[in-house]
Amino acid sequence: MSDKEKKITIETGDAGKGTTEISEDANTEELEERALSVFSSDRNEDIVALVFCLITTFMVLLFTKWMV
Amino acid sequence: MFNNVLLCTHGTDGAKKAEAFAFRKLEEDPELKVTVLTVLDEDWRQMTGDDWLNSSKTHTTFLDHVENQMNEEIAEEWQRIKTSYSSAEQATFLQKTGNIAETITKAATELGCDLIVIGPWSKGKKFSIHSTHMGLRTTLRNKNLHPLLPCPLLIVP
Amino acid sequence: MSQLKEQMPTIIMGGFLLVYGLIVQSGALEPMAKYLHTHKTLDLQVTMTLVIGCIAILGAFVNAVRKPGNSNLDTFILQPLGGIVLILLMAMAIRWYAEPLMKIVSKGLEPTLGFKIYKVLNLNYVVLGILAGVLLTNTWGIPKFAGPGVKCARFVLKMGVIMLGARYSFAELAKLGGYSVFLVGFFVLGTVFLVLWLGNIFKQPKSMTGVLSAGMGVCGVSATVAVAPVVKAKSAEMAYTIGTILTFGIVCMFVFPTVGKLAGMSPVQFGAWAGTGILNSAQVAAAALAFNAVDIETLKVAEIFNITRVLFLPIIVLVLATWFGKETGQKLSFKSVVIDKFPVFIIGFLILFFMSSIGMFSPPSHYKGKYIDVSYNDRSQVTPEELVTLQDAMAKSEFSGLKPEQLEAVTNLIEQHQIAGNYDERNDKKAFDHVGRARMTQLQGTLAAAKGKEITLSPEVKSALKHAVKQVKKKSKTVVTLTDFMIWFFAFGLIGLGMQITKKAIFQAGGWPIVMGVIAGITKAALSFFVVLWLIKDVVLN
Repeated sequence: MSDKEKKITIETGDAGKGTTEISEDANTEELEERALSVFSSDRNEDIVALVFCLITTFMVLLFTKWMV
Repeated sequence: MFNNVLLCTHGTDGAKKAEAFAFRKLEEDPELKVTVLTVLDEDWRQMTGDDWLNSSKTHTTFLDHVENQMNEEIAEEWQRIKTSYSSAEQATFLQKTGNIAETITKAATELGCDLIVIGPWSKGKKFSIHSTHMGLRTTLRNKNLHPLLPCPLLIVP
Repeated sequence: MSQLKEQMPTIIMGGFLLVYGLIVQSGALEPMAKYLHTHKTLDLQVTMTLVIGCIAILGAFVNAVRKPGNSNLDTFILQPLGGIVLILLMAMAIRWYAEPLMKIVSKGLEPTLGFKIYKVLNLNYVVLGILAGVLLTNTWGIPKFAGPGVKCARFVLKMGVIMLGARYSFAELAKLGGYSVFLVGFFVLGTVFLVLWLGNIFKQPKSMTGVLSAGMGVCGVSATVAVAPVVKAKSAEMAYTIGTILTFGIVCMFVFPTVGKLAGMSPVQFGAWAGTGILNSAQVAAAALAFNAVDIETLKVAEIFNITRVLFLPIIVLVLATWFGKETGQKLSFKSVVIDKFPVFIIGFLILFFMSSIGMFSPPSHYKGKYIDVSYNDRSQVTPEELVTLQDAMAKSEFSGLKPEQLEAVTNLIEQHQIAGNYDERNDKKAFDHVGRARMTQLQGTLAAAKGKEITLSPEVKSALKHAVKQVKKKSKTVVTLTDFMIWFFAFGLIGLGMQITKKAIFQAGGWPIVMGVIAGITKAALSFFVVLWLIKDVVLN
């Protein structure tokens, strides 16, 4: 799976720095230190938040409305 | 007496006293090795406070800007030192980022310094609306600095 | 072995939660919970502590055994686990212990002080949580094991905002949206120009007034961070501005709810005022929850204003960039500022709002998740004691002053033990409902007449009738549960964000920014106070 690879690429864009600089291991730590959240990009964070919310909503509906 | 001095400055009134002292010594003894160290406070990272609206990209842009801006201001600061003290030409200038106490002591160890010179804590004017300093306001505390010291510390009164 | 040592805090917290959950389940804490008035939450306490405790211990052991990697599991679950558990533990301790204790203590102190501390300072669990977060950061610092977890605060707060979308209706959103665009637009632009003008008067550099105007006008530190690189602010200017805004924001968090309560503002008015006047957007949510933590009406209004401001931020960045760019020659395109920076989580908010509009959470006949249910149900019945009271009163002909319809409703209530339709009509749902609701209206009329002193009823009878009416007014379980989730998300997010406010950042306040910032901030807060009181007179949400 190219998952790991992909993540690093996103992180690069995030930091607003060149790809070459990032592919070196040394810089990723610094970038992660600087980043505000555990997510590799803001868009990812928003999308995951949305998905989580939909799951929560679905579970709530399931247990309080559809199964009652 | 001392051969290798680390002068820590960031342009405040207190630090200027330390500068004056170190460069006077340098004039007296040209053999003396003086390194001027300016630390970029890592606590800039905390200056974004409880902001949650901006993306990490905006934060990185902000921190990059801080870094560039500080580099510019530090360069100006060094220029000021060089123009005020003729002996400053012989000194080495060094800039580092990190926790202030840790960075100073680490630099001193790396350079093999036998004396660290800093300015005294000066009680600022109660209220001043003119910015006289650069970067973050911060106080170096004995409690944090002393346990780390690799060599004598001179606080120029 | 060192890996296990690193996980010790998490294991201890998890173990504590498990033990606590088991103690609660055994019922040993019931008397104390009764004293604290938290006994209704005991079931939730058991579930939450046991589940979180198990996850914490399991995760900690996985962390201890497994080699730390770079996979998604590591980044999103294993590493932040310690911090997440810590914040949850704080939230639970505050919600179930600190807040109730605060209430009891301030009630005890009332005779000596003459007022209730928690009411004046609005020390509910949200405010206490933020304070606890700020205190922790500035005393011990965020523990190392909690670092990655605290970073999740922003994510969870976003979830809270998205979930909030489920609580609006079309009419509400349209009406509030109109108000907020008008108010926020006016005050954002007004403050930006005020600061720029002040800067002109005091002859301050453009870079400073640029940062400060955005910070004071739009959303505090967020705007400062976004604008600083654009206007090429000097380091001292940024430090001063951020310090000023953070200090101002924390003061606002306490002053706003107190002033709002003293002025007798309605939840809607307060939400609008906080959403306009408070700078940092996390503190808007905090103040709204401080004003009213149980009923989220205030939060709903404040968040709409908040979202409006979020949408204004890129526009202001663009305007300031153009204004400043004239000199430096740099240009920012509309796309790079507005479209690339559009917060995607607002789309999530709209999705949940859409789901709510089509009646997924509660049918359109329900009003804000509340509805009337007159069908036969054990839970709708009055208590046996109340029934005896009513029968006695009937025997003593206490109801003689009632109108015939009202008397019929009371008679039927005694007969059926609850408000309901006619038993014979129970298969014709429509007719049954209709009669039941009519009876409820009659009972409410009776209570109103008793209140207006047209008739006299003994307090016991009144309370029995009130209870009967209350029993058929049900809250939609779906909406209640969703709201609970949302409030926990907000609490988690706000505590985590509180942990990111350091005293060093606050103490940077100073210089010209503090002068101009205080002038602009107070002007904005005061003006918006009057405008809100004048403009939003009626309760918009009804």
